[in-house]
Amino acid sequence: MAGLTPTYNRLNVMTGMAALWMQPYDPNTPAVLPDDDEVLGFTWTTPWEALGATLEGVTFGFARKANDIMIEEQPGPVDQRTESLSFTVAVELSEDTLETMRRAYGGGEINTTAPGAGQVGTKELVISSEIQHFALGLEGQAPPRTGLATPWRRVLIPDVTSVAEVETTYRRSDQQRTYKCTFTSLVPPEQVVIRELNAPAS
Amino acid sequence: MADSNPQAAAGSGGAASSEGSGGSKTKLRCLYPTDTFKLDDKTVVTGEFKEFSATDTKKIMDAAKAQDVKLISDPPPKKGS
Repeated sequence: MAGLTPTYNRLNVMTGMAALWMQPYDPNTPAVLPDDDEVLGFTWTTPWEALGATLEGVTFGFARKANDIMIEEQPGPVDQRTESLSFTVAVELSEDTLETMRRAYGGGEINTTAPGAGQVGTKELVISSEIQHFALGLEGQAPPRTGLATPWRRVLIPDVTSVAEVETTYRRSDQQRTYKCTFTSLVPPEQVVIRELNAPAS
Repeated sequence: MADSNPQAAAGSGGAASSEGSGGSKTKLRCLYPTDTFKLDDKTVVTGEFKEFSATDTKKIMDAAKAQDVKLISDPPPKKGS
């Protein structure tokens, strides 16, 4: 006799990478997601900047810590109230640029000098003592739906900071240089946008 | 939700918006407010919008693209250019 097979939808079982996008945080011009008509994999326009290659993809984290509300008359909690809640995005950036270093180290300024007659072009990164704020966007594929083979899922965290202990190893051939970053959301959860395309236009 | 930011890509991957516009001026700034892009002693793009001639804009855009520097232009570059 066959055992129980729970009801399932195999199309909802997803794998696949995510792309990360970032822009400087501006309280006067809050970051917005690209237009909903834009297809999965579309290049998000400036001020969004791609974070590029990663060592092991992107990890989107959510953690809620709750306090149990207890009463003497019941052995288990009668309620749970949120004590803390956080969204994090962890990634090990694999493109060794000054822009990557700025993101990993939590902020800074990049001063570029163009080449000229007898003058080479340079870029200089000055790490800031204060933590810089960014807006972070994430895009991955959502489960396919009727008429949509590769719909998008997009996440917007309007204000994040990057705080991490970054160690970059310079090796001859063992591994590329990487920059481990953790971006932490600084906004209430209600301001984090998690949206996906799930039906085509009629 | 549509992207309501009227500014658009320039510099790396973008194109000079004032190219062929008959001497019209373009405002440029660095993507990050703390950054600077120095073409020469007189021509420096900062984090604040600053107006540049069509000739300077073209030079700045070309140099920014070569050095992978992101700038914001106002008006934004024409679509498809």
